[in-house]
Amino acid sequence: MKNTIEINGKLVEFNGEKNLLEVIRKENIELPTFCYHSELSIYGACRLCVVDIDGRGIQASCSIKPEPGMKVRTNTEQLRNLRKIYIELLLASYNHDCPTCAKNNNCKLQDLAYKLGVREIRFKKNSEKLPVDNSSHALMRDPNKCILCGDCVRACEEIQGIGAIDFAYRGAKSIVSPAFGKGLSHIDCVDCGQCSRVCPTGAIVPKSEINEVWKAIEDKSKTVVAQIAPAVRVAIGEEFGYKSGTIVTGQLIAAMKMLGFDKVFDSSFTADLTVIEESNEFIKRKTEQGTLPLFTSCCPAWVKYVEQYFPEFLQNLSSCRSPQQMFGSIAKKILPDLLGKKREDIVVVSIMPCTAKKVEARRPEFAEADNRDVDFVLTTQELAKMIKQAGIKFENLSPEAFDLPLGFKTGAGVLFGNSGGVSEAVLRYTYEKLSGKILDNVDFKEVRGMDAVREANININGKNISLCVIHGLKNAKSVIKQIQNGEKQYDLIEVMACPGGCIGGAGQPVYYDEETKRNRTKGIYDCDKMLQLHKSQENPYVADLYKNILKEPNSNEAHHLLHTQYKSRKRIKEGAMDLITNDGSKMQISVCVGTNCFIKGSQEILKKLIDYVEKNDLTNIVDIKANFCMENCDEGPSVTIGENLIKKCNSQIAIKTLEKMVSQLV
Amino acid sequence: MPLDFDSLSSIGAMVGSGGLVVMNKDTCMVKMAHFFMQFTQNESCGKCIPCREGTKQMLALLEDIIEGRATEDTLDLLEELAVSVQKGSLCGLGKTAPNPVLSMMTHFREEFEAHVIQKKCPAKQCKALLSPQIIPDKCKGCGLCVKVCPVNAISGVRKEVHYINEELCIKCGACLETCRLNAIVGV
Repeated sequence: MKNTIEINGKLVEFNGEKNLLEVIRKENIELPTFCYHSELSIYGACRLCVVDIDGRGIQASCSIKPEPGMKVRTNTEQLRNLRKIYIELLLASYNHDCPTCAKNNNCKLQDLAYKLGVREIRFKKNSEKLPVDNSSHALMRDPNKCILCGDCVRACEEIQGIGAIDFAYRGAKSIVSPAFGKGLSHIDCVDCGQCSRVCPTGAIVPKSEINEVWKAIEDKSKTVVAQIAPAVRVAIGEEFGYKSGTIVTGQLIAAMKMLGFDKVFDSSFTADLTVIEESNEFIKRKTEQGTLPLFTSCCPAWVKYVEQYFPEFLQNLSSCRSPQQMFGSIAKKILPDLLGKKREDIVVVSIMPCTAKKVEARRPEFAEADNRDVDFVLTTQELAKMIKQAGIKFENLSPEAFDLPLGFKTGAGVLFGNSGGVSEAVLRYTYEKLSGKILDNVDFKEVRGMDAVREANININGKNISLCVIHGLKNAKSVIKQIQNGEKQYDLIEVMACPGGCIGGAGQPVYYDEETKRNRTKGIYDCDKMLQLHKSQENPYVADLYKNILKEPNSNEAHHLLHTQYKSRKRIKEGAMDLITNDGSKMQISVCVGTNCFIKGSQEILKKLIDYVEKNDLTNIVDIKANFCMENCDEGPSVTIGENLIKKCNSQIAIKTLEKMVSQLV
Repeated sequence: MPLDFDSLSSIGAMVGSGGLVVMNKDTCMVKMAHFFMQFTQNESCGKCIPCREGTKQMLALLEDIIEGRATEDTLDLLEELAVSVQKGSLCGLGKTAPNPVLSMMTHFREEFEAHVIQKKCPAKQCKALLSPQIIPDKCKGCGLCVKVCPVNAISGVRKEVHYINEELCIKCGACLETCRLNAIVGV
């Protein structure tokens, strides 16, 4: 009896599973769920994983702990009917035009409606249409397709620690929305797209640039060159029936040539370049007591996160552009001569596992006179769709090779697809550079693994290099806090926003299980193994590039082409709402109307101040603004009058201070 | 009958807030069910599917019955849905929200059936199911009803008994409310 339960009459042992659902799934019974992800917290809202437990009746198995002696049934007529009717209710309530949906064939709702045998919708269909949020370059949000499972809300909060979207309103009016119904591009979203990765329907999907790329390919005056990110080659096969993690680089290149890409290059080439630039930056900081820890800068979601939340750490971010952007600037620098084309006629298309790369490519600093270094960014999913649109039988293609020179890479460049990969590649370089010795065993197993925060100490020539490898921005935040408190010290910190690194990116083929991620990770390490060269410094084409153009690592030319600058994007800098006219020369009064201060009575203060100013005819000398958050939430309400910041303010204090300051002015 | 949990649950009722509502034959039980459903639907937080979507659809089905759009299938569907909401909801609100409906459907089955089969409201409360008829003895031919009828379904010579053309009548009930002599009744 100890630690066994009865599932459908069969005795089953359980051992540490966190809920009944995991035990049942271990027995090869795939109970359907919308709101359950093993990596997220338990929510218990979709009620599809209902089971019948003797003595306890119908319960959601995700929210029940397995207890010895439990008798559970998973497949009774009543349970089947319950699941069916819940799917039917969802189909009636939201817009589900499957054939035209971006998530068609990958949608959990569609799949379950089919598997559970829902053949009709007997309920009244909802005809109300909510506006689609098209504001972001990375993602598209269609609230009409949202089934309110809350996966996106929890992914944003629990993986990235941002909480850019949440539930609004209640009951039948509930929706998932950014604050105040703003667009995704107007809030703190870092475009990582993890919300879209976990979304079971088509309510949040990566924004498509397929049509623009087709147009460029068909334009005879343009030469379209592609770069393929490391993580794409171990995942795109899933779209064509391969097991996850299968390396299909050769077929992928063949397919892209058939689509009409003139040249197919490899982002791993510029990843090699990144390794050399970033390692030299690191060695310089380490040996010359520069700012440490050095943060990697390959992940655009992470870069935006630092800019938004930790601008005081901007100088810790490596100034290196990401491999995607290095590729863009190098391609547009050398290809015009090489191909005999003008810069404007070369179109660079990135194939990325990532939605944030779409936004990165549009950062104004990565363009020359409106001509972007990277013109378009396709996700792995989008490229697969293009291959399907063209009717190409991917699985029958003979492999082809990358074009040179920008298609040659070492294993170090491929590692970038995994969390820990950048660190390992940098270590392979730094070791040889600092020790002057040849590195024989290139594998740094210390930085590998699936844990979200991994620490490693590597001894090179008597010098200890302490690293921290992180995936998930929420974990990055807690490490930064530890650094701020002085609890931790590192030399190098690698951060990737997505679980597992780029292989778990939101642009990758849809997956819901952990095994897919593990297989892709293994695929990347296998890729490294199969290549002859494993260290970026051994890449002969990178060496050529230094010889001909860049001179040496971190040179002026290298800085111009391969490095960048960051700026603070802290939201407090945003403009305030003017309530009494504003011409800058007057005394400025700001009252915080953020949630916290509002609850503590800032509205009252604002009202009293406006009354006072109007009654005493002070509008010529005083401006009043309503501000969002002065970041003193624990000591609100916050009011600034002139230069004075008043915490825990009330209307009497505010008016007294104002009186005093006005009398000084007059 | 004693007012306690066990005695009330034995007859399929519940204590609720402890209040008693006295109803007579003029209370339509379908409308009553709709009233309770509206309350619980408003109280739903929206987290779980059965309660958020189920109570909304139960309300829509009850509306169909009241408006005369329902068939016998509607009653089966309503019952099936009510049980699904009751069994599967996350919290006590959803688990008990369908109780009034289920209880009324058990104890006042014939009233529900009258609504969907004969399209009649026995308590004469559901306007859409009432056909206004003029009682000739009471009608003085004042013509007020002729004026308010939005579809010109009533006709008659002044100071003589008027008539309602049932084919044109949309059962809005305007004439019923207007007649000062109570000469028009819904049946």
